Formats: sequence, structure tokens, C-alpha cells
Amino acid sequence: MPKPKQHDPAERMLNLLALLGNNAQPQTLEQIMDQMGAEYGSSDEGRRTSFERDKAALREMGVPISNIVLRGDAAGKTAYFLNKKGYGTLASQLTVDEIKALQEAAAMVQIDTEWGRRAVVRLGGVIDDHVGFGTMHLESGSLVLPELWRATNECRVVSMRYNAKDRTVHPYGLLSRDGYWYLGAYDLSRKEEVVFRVDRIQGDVVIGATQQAFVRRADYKLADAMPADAKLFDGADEQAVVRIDKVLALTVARELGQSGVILTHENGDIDVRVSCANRVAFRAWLFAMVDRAEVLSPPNVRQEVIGWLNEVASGI
Amino acid sequence: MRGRNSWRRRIGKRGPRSAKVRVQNALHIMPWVMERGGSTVEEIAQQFGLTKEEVLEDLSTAMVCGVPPYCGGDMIGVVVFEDGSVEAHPSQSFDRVLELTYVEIFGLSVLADAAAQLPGMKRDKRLASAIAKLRDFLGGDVVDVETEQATYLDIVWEAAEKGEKLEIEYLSPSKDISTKRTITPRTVFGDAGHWYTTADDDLSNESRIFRIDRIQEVRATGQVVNIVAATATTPSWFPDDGTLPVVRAHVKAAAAWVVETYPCRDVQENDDDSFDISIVVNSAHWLGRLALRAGGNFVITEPIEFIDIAQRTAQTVLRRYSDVSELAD
Repeated sequence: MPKPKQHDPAERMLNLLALLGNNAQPQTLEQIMDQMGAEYGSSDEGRRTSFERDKAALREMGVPISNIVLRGDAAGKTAYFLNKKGYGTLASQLTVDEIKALQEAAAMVQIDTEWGRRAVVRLGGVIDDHVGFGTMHLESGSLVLPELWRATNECRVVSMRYNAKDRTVHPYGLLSRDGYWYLGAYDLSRKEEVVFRVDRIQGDVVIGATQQAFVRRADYKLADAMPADAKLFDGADEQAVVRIDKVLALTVARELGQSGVILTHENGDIDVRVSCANRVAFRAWLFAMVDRAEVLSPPNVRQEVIGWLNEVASGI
Repeated sequence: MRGRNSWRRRIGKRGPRSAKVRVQNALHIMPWVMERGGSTVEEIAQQFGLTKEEVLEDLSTAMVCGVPPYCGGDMIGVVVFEDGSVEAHPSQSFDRVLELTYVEIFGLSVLADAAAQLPGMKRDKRLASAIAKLRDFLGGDVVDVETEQATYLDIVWEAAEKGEKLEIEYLSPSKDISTKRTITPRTVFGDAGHWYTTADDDLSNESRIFRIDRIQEVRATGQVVNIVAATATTPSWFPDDGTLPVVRAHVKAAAAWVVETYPCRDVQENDDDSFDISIVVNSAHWLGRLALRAGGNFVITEPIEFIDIAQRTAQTVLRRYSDVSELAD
């Protein structure tokens, strides 16, 4: 028996699209199969499976295939049509100048994937591969990022593994800061708002099927939810006074702002007041200056620092 | 340069392309050609980052498609001529630009938000207006890109633009010294949360990379030199050219940030979430600082001269604390 002809799935999808576009009336699955049955095989189940796969693939590409449930003679049957309102709405809102600006942005910023550049091309822009004297590299290649973004934008519940624990969260926002991506979310098990570092999410994330599954707090801003100063992360605003050598004084004063400088010595050293609530972050900040910085007060923090140093010095 | 073509080189030669990719390309190409009243295979390849062979394959697929009974006017009106020109006749199904996918919209949001932080773009009204429309379309601020606010970024950027020499005082924490030097910034780039400039350095007579937030003071000299047509690139940090020492270390889970932050090689992840790594050492001071910050969670196993660097660095710091009567041995 001759082997049935194998149809190229690409041709089948384009034919399906042409069929839906050429018919003014929505088409039921039976009507589609009447015309394209040979391409979809002989068994009813196989046809439906292939049709559903093609429909899903086309929708994923952005083809606005909509469906309605018919009335009258065909009552209860689902029919499919191309919803012309679903085409290129963002593209139609942007002016030529705005697209040019996005083009320039795509030439100057590297994000490790083609996602953004592809979007600019799709909007009608042209990517100039010539990079000028200024550029920015923003590591954004994780496949988890667009998934989290979609979940955030569509208010879908996210399940993920983080710090060896399974978490279910309501994602509120994504922020890139200091070379890392962060997800701000409401953690359903902890019952509080939490910030997660995206590169520490283990494995894939599972995005809930339901859109608008929760309401994001209207005034939520991730940048506000996440203190810029990691030393503040643990909440209580405990502070330490630290003496900084002249050689680092300008850098530290710039980092903390002039209000953080409480005394400038004649030799150029400065004393600064700095948050130390998060000891891990405080220690990383303090020891980055090695012996160019010394905790002066409060006594308990100074003793802690001496204790840490003794531990390391003795090789514990 | 990390352009479209170099990206392709990085991901290697493409294998057979899926049906979905070919359909997607055809759906992007056809409205673009229709809008322009025609194009060429070469132009299409350039615009969409495809090879000419891929363009031909995708258009050939489209050319044999249409509506039953698939003959004459039933077909999609795409024609590729021998000279490489392409015509696409108006069609109800294929003349509209598809909406961007969520992956593309995410990428676009990141590009736009990041570009708005660049000194050359931050006052660009066109970009601001594009971002406003993008946010409106997305329904709010769901992606934010924050970059370091380096005090002298604008001055260095402007100097690179004009070819102006700058006198700077620069701190090198890895060597624990501060130097005065005259530099001519050639490129400016942001990477891993910091801003840098690649500049001609009069002190070393070489091109050097300076981290802009480590510039402690700056003075514009007014001296302008020829602008070199330089392309900003992100360098490979910690170049392993064989001249710098390499240490082997055991990194406990509590100091996983070391592995995340610095370029490590021969990384082996253990069952207890610790790592065994090799890392290029920029300077002994740098390594001591790293080991001290990580405390006992970063244990150097070789070479022998660096094994006790954390202890030695801690002892140095302890000397500052004058009320410490006795240092640990």
C-alpha cells in the first residue's frame, strides 16, 4: 500500500490561515476539514489533534485566531475566524520617530538575546549593527524572564523552586539592578511581599492558566519595595559609625551621600553613619575596604566585627 | 561587536528550521514586502537577520499555499524573480503585521528602558514617548531597569563624544592605590551593574579600562584630540592569558555569590550546594579582600602561597582595632 503523502506542517498552517482569512464567515472544524481534510489526515482524532496544534502555534506567533459558539442550525458548534482587531496594535500606535528611537536603543543595548531586536524589526525598524562609542550590556538571556514578565503583566500565579523550597507567588514586578534581575511578588505561603533574585530560581517556573488571578497592589513599585542599600534589607534600621581612610573617603561619601558623613578629619579621613541591620551585607561592604575602614561604634557591632576577624584570622 | 551576525556566530550554525519558524518568517516578511510594494531577497535577508537561502525557503513555502483548490488566484500572491526581486500581492490574510509575541515585547521593554539610562539617550523625547506608549500598552510598570548613577558618567561620556582629555584621580582597590593621570575616553560601556570607559591612558601609554565610579576627581582639560572611530564592546573580564595566577577554591553555599559574581572556571557544583572552582587572581590584595568578605566560606586549596591569605588579611585588619590586645595566631 503506498505511504500517504506527508504534508509539510508549514504549508498546512499557511493554508489554514489563508482559508480563515478568505472566508467572511467563521468556519467550524467540519467546514475546515471539508476543504483541507487531505492535509490533516484520515482519522477524526488525528485531524483534531493536528488542527489544535496548528491553531495553538499560529496563536503563539501572534495570529489572532478567535472563536465563537454558533447559534441556529449549527447551535453549540465552535467556529473560528481571524480577528482583524488583534493585529499589530502596538505597531500602529508608534510613530516613525519613536520606532527610530527604539532602533537606536537596539543598537546601543545588548541583552544577550534577539528578542528586543526582533521586536524592532517587526515594528518596521532596521537594526544598524554598527555600535558607536557607547553601549550597555544587560544580561537578560534567562528564558524564565519573559515567562515571569507575562505572568506579571497578566496577573497569573507563578509556582517555582527557590532556596530549595517550592513557592507559589503573585508576581508584582521585575527589576534589573546592579546586573541582576529581581522579581517582586506576594508569597502565598509566607503571606508577605518578598523580593526574589531571578538567577536563583531553580529550574523552570510554572505559570498559572488563569489570567487576572489576583489584583496587584495599586501603589506597588518594586524599586521602592527593594531598598537600594542591601545593608538595610533586614528591616530594623540599626546603624554603625565607621571611620574611612582618606583614600576611600570621596568614594564612600558619594555612595552614602553627604548626609551620611558625620565628621571630616584634618587628615582627610571621614566618619560615616551607615546601616548595618543586614550583617551579611554590612560585612561585605565593610571588608571590601579591608584595613581602610574601622567600625567605631556601637560597641556591640565593633565587637562583632572583631569576632568575625578573629574567626577568620585563626582559620576557624 | 555583538551585532545580529555575531550573535548567530555565537549560537553556532543553524540546523534544520522548524515549520513554526518558517511560517513565522513568512508572516513577517509578506506584510513588510507588501507595504513597500516589493523588495529583494537580499534586502529581506538583511532586514530580518536571515540568510538568503532561508528567505528563499520561507517564500517558496508561502508560494505553494493558498485556499482550495489551490490554483491560480487561490494562491498566496508571492513571486520571487530570477534577479532576486520579490513581489507580494495584497492579500487579506497576509498583509497585516502580527502583534509582537510576549517574548518580543519583554525584550523591547528591556531595550527601551535600558537605553533611556544612557547619557546619549536619556533626554531623547522620541524614546521617552515610545516608552510611555509601551507602558500604556502593557498596562503599567512591570519591567524596570536601574543602572548605577556614576557621578562622572556624563562628563566621561561627553569627553568620549568630543575626544577631550580628562585629568582624573583614580582609585584601584585591587592594588589599594590612588593615582593621578590624564586619559582620553574612547568608548563608554555599562556591564554587570557598573559603567566603564576604555581610554588612552597617558600614565601607562596604553589603552586601559577604568570603572567610572572609581574616578574620585575629574577635570576637563579643554584639550581635544582626533576622535577614533571606536566601537564599544564589553570585554572579557579577568583575561586568562596565562600571566595571572589561578587559585583553586572550595566555596560553601553561603558564599555562592562568589561564583555568581566573578568569572570562575572548572566549576563543580556539589550535592550540598557548595562549589569547587578555579579563579584567575587579579592581585593578591584583591584575593585577600574576596576571601575576607566571604569569611570561612571561601577556602583556597591551592596554590600553597594563597592558602592562608584570608587569615593574613584578617590579621592586617585586626591591627586597626587598637583595643585588640592580642591577635589570633
